Amino acid sequence: MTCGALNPMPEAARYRRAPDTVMRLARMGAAHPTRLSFLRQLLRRLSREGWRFDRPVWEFDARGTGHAVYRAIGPERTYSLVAFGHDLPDEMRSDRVIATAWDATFTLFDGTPTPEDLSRLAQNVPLQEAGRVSCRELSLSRANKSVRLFAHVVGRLAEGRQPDAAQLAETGYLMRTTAVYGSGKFGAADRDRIADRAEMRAPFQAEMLSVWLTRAFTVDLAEHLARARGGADAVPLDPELRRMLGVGNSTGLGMAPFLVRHPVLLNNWMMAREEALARVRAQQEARADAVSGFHVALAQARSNADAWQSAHPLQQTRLTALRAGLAQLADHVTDGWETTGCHPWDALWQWAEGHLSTEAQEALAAAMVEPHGDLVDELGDCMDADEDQAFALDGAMTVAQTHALLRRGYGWALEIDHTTPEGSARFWYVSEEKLEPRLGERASEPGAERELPLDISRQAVALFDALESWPDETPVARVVMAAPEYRHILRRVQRSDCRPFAEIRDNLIAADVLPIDMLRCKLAFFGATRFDPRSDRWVRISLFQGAPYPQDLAAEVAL
Amino acid sequence: MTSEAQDPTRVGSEPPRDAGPALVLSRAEIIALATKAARGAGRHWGEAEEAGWACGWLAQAGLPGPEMLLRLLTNKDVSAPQPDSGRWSAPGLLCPLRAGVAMMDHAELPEGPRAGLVRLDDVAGPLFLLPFVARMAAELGCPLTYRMGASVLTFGAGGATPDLRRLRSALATTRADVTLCSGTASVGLDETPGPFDGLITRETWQALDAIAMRTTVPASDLSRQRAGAQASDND
Repeated sequence: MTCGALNPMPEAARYRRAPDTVMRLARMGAAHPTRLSFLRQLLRRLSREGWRFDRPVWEFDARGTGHAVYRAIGPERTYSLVAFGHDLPDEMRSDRVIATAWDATFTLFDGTPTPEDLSRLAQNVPLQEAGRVSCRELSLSRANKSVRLFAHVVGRLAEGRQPDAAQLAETGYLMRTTAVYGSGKFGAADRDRIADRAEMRAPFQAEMLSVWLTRAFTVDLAEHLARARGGADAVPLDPELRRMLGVGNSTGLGMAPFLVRHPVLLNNWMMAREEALARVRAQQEARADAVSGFHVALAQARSNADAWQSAHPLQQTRLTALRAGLAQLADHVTDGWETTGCHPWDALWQWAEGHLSTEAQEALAAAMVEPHGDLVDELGDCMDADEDQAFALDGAMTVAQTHALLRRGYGWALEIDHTTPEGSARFWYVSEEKLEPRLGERASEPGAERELPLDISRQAVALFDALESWPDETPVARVVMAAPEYRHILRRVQRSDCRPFAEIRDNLIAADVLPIDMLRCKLAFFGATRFDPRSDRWVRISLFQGAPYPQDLAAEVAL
Repeated sequence: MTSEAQDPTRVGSEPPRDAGPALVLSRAEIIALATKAARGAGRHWGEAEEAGWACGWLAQAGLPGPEMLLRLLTNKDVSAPQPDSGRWSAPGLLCPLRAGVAMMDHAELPEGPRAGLVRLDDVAGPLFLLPFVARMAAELGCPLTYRMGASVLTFGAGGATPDLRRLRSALATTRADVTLCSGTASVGLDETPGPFDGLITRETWQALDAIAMRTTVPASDLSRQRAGAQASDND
């Protein structure tokens, strides 16, 4: 993290959790969103800076085909979501990256698009990967309807009735995005074009803004179709019900390698979150307003856990443990927690470590951080990363120093046996067919010779062993000159030296690795809720559920 | 932050059908394409990452990085350097990627330019060394001067990417001796950045993509089945 020297609370350091605890997949896969999550950062900024929103273009027919423009107008710049609606037959609806058509497609335009821009975008955005956008566009995305809920909402509104709240709660969204591309993908603006803008500095702000405006579009489209069907009888969606809807997201293996391929970023995200928790624990006293804020956050966590559904056995088990743990926690907070003692937040945390499941502990971490915005929100400024700066190798480092680095930062890897079938059962690869990352079985599937370098623990062991045959004082420049295959892991090892949260401390090619753990960790940093795994490598989530809409933002007090 | 820039796991393989004879790639796309192509050509991942970064830098400097990389990857006569104090050579032509990367690694060592003038013999496509020289100057915190024939370029310690479009005429130089030394030549480079140049011909794109595709695994029924959810997406 780059903000260390400015840290106003150095005493928090001794309350930080150890990387060996935090960076395990089982714990990362139990991550919950916090107030540092990227969508929360976005909404706080939009509210604080008084952004305005309008919809200068809305041209849709009665079948939902057409286009719209939603603008977010800030103190310095304007961004526009350009949305295209399509009439998609059910048999063509697929969330996989292999799909070629969607219910709606989107791009976030940098500024206000002219008619010429809209015409160019109309020819490209609906094609997604098969089209091209330009450096005027910051994201490219698409969404599919939740067929049953969308039909239910439109049907009810057209009849002048409100939809059934239980059905809304069960699905939680009218549309789910199946990919949101940013950072230079398919010709879009590179990250460095926008990274120096205050509103784009935190990670994924363009993508989050695009999804938030997409949420408004999904409701507008449903109301439009209801009016087209019901005429004067149609009613708009009740604001309370509307607020229950987020945007769904369906995410597969494509996102899993991201955390491995961006170790500096991962470190900074984790470091900020862990520092936030440590700052809360390090306080000598619990302020009354923070305690009452915590009670509210805990109640919300419990109601979220109660409403959270999953058909996946693994997540069902975790949910049972989460609900039980939160109930136990609520009892303890009422009956056992001394808020007036010394370091009460730390006492609560230590109790939780001894009594609660991993899921419930992580939920508690988020709830403890929640009422402490004044203490932690500035950490959001430390979550970006200039990865180019950490790219160079220190060739003068000696073999002995590298061995020491490995022992210090990769002890977890050196303990793993990769020579057993279970220890290297899987391999990550990119499929020729659709260029998407997949996870193969080494023993039964072809292609392991084209493996992606995500087998970090195995590479670390190989480097450690290879260095044994070199004299201690040899500079590593000579090692990688003779054996360039170690350059990749050597760079990681050197980069991890001052970045303790840069590596997932588990074997990513083990027989029992669960890719959804990696997906959930990343999605929690986005601010996702209601993780619903569809398999061990595919998860659906909801973004912005319960959050304000553009027209509500000015009236919000707590973001 | 380059949040997705170096992610080679997802990049479109098909350029749009109506793109014409050339298309403009973003820096992230250039990096992804170049990284995968270098790996597809048999370079190890660590070196492939350097190739990707270098092509992104070259495009930023106004030079056709992907085209330069393609020429390098299809040149069968290049080999790794044998670093020595003052003089680096190779059995055949010196590979500028291997030499550039190794030169950076050796920057502070007796074989590197900090210790004195280094001559690189018979470098293939010698302009491909430039990104590494620029980065080395920034890492060392001292200016470095690159000489190739009449071309003399001094890279400052600030790490800015200069506008090098005027060097396009030197792209035709397929091999040359190069010298590197620390310190400033009489005139340093103007460090005002030029326009990013992501233009790539369809021909170059296709050739690099064909090499990049060697990093991918042909699909099987099993891999398709394991890739996604088990249930329908109509709900």
